[in-house]
Parts: sequence; structure tokens; C-alpha cells
Amino acid sequence: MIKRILLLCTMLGLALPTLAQTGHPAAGSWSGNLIPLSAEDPQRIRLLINAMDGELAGTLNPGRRGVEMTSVSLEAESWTLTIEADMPDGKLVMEGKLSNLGSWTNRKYRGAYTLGNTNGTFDITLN
Amino acid sequence: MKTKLFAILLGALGTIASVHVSAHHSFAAEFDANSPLKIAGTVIKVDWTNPHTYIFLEVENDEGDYEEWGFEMGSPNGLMRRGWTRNTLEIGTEVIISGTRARDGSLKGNAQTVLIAETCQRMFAGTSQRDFDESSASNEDCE
Repeated sequence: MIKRILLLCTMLGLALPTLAQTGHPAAGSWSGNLIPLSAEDPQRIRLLINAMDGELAGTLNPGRRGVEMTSVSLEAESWTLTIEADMPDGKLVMEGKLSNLGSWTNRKYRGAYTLGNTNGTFDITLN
Repeated sequence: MKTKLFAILLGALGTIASVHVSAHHSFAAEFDANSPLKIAGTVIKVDWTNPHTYIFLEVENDEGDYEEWGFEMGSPNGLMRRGWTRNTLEIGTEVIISGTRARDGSLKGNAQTVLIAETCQRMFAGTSQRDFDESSASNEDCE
């Protein structure tokens, strides 16, 4: 009996680190650049995405000048994340794929965007 | 047999516990007290963990590029005794950190104070307040 209890305690102890392996793949704080197809300089962008009960919501450039996302959706079969927001420069639509999902520090979100009359690509990394 | 099992269990638990202890270290081993730094940036991540809390800033350098700086602070318990909560620094908060740079020259430091730019609130963030001179905490950086 004691042997079984000791074994159970050991297994529970070893299992504790796995509790950290949770979370939505899109949730978190992201940083990167919008890279216009024109010769303009890249534009820095930060994303803060939250997942509550499977629903995604978020803020672009969180902080004093943050803009709430009007829509965030993830198509899980292809890991395509689409974000929309009404920015001061016009409507922003970002559509890209999440990759390197096994990493907590180097997860990528890459794709294409339109912002008002401009468009380009983006390269964003999970912080 | 029971003694053997107990020893094995103790060993396993000790190994698990040591994972957390490995993160604790001497200040002087990692940071250079003679290399003070003051840096402004935007909070992009907060790790509210023992034995040290870490905050990470996005900082624009002189070339216009963005760098990620990491700063070690006191333990969550120590910070809470000084008025911090887990949500004191939200993602996107603009701060100015005064502290000490890492010896290896990496983008790392030990934060002594954190000034929240928007509210002008200056908070002690280190592990020991013996070197923190309140009178030197001017508000010249506040907006």
C-alpha cells in the first residue's frame, strides 16, 4: 500500500511541469513589422491577443495608443489567423499563418496585409 | 525495502525542487554594479515567477531598430510587499527603467526602479532597497 502511495506521489510530482503546456496558439504578446510593397520603411506593430472560452479578441499596439481589433479569427486546419481593425490610417486586414507552434519564444505569424490604400507583407514573432 | 523506496522518492522530489533553485544566483555574478543604465521602452512581456520576476521591453535603438531587453526584478513576494501586483505592468505600458547592466554585455539588466511614464509612478523593483535613494528619484522623465 505504501509503495503504491509513494509511486502515486512521484508520478504527480513529475506530472506538475506538464500543467504549463496550455494556452491558445494565437494568444499572447507579439511584435514585428508591416513591410509595405512600396519602398517605404517598415512599420512597427505589436499585437496583444487574448483567448477566452475559445473566443479571440485583441489590441493592436497595446498601450495609450492601442486600437481594439474588430475581428480576430483562427482557421485551425491551416493555422490561418485573420485580424481586422480600424486604424487611424484606414482599415487594416492581416491574414497570415502561424508557424513554429512548438516554440514559446519564436512562434511566427507571417502573411500579407492591407492598410487603407497600401499593402504588403508582415513578419511577427511571439514575445 | 521501505527505506529504499523513501530514498528514491526523496531523490525524485529533490530533483524536481532543484529545477526552481537553479534560477537563483548571485547579483555580482551576473550584473556589473559599475555599469548603471537607464532605458525607456514598452512592456511586451512579464514573467511573474520565483525566484525573480522578469519584465521584457521593446526598445528603439539609435539606428531606429527595435531590440528586446530583459530585466530581472525582485521576487513576486518581495514586489508585492512594495505595492506591486501581477497587473501593475500591463503589456504596452511605457516605462523607464533604471538599473544595472549584465556583465556579459547582452540586452539584459537588473532593474532597481521602474517609472511608469503615463502616471509618473516610480516603483522600487530590486531585491534590496539599501542602495535606493528616494530623494534621487526625480520626476524629470515624467511626461
